[in-house]
Amino acid sequence: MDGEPRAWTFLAPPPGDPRFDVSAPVLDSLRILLLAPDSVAQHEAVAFQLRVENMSDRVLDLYLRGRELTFDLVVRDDRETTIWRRLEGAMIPALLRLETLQPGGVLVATYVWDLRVAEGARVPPGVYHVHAELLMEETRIPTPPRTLRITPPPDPEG
Amino acid sequence: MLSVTRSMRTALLAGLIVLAACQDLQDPVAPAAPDDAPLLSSALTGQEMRALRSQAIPEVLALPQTVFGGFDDARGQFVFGVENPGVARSVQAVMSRLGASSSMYRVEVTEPIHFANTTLRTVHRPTRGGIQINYGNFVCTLGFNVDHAGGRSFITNSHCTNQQGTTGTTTYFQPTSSGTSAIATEADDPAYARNLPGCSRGKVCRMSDAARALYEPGVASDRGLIAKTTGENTGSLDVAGTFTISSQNDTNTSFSGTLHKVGRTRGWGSGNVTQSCVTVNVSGTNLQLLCQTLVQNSGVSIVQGGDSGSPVFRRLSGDDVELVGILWGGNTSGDLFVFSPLRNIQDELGSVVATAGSGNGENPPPPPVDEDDDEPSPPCVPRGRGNNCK
Repeated sequence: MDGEPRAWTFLAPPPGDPRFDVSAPVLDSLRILLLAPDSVAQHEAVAFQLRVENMSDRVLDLYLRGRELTFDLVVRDDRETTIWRRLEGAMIPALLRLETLQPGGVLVATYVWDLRVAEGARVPPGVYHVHAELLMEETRIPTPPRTLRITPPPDPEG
Repeated sequence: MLSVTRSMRTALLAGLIVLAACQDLQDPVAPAAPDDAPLLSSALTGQEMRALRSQAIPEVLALPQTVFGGFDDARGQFVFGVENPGVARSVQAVMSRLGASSSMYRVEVTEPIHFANTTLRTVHRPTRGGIQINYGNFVCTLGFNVDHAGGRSFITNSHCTNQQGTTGTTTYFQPTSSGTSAIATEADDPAYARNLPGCSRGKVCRMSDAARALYEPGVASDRGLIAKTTGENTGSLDVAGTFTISSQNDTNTSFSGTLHKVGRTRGWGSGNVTQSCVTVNVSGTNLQLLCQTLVQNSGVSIVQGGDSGSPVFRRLSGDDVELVGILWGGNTSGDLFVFSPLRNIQDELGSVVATAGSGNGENPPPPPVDEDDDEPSPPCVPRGRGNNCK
């Protein structure tokens, strides 16, 4: 299965880590964040983390698609062309999971992308824009896009 | 006069119509209204006419598939609503027995009337295909009710169990566990295997994403019925009637044309077959399903989370349908769904009877006894199309 977690997958950014931007729109009582580093080398992989937070003081019942928290990732280039979509052509089981979020409660899901597009080629170095979409009962809730810079791999000859 | 016309009724009108009919009967000794006289038979005495008015509506509405009954003062006729033209003959028989001539009444074919809040997500007893079920923290759709050698059951998805690919003790409620008792318990969910022909390396496979749940005693279920909502591809969840499974496709694994589904999230949807008998990977897992069929309606949301387990069928004539399989997944936009053919389901879970008809709740005949075997066979639940015990 693609997206096997690597050794450095994490659940929360280290406090004060400048690589992470935690901005996201507040959707009513729910805040949905996409966390990722600002840059990654082309020969590496990038870990994305989706966080769903209950910002209210009441219990929220979320109806989410899939057995596990399911989210799509969309990567576009500077011309707004979609170059990779995690769930492109995917067949997702159509069951619904009820997740009860207490006030302040957080749901987390991670995905590691190996920087390869569907055909298997690695994405060339450059600046890209990534957003996630949380799959809920009948809607997909997007996060705002964030920039991801893919840098060339280090020169092996130094 | 016996006439058959179609008319649409909205919810809640039934109460008013029946109430009006009842009010007509409040004072059976009241003289007939002047408008009655031209159309009611002059051969009936006043007493006979009053008796007719007090008997006709209750007796006709006792017939199955009648919808409403009343007296049309403007035309001086009884008017009866029925669900289909076949019922009109029964109405005619009753009215003839009561001494009414055909000019005294008319029959209209109309949609059955339901309470306004009956949806795919409300309580349904008896149960039928297409309605919401709940287990643990999950919501799915009841596919279809069946008679099976293991007992009266329903079929839903294998992934709509506590542990996919393992027969466990998943307890199902309808529509939810709030305020209701369990309706069924998981009875069969075969394991996924690596060595199935066609299974990719690194995957485990099955031919269907299907599991069987055995009904609790005393839980009423309608075999051969699928809830029908008020509109196709509208997202409506309001139940307006039922589809009748008049046949089931036990043999095909390839399909074409338009197929339909009914599920608790997007309701009644339809699309065209785009690919048939293809291998499909289940997103986010190492599972693979062999010989599945894809159905698409571009740009129209016909499947979303919760529709897992939806019965998939082909419309025949009227509301008669042929059952062809069970839906288990779809793409992110919801305009494409994938289903497992009924043939594959039966290959894994054993033969089922899903069609409507008499014998609801009766099991299919047991497998044939091996005449060469003098030892009594242990009780078993036959599996596979050969009904072989394991």
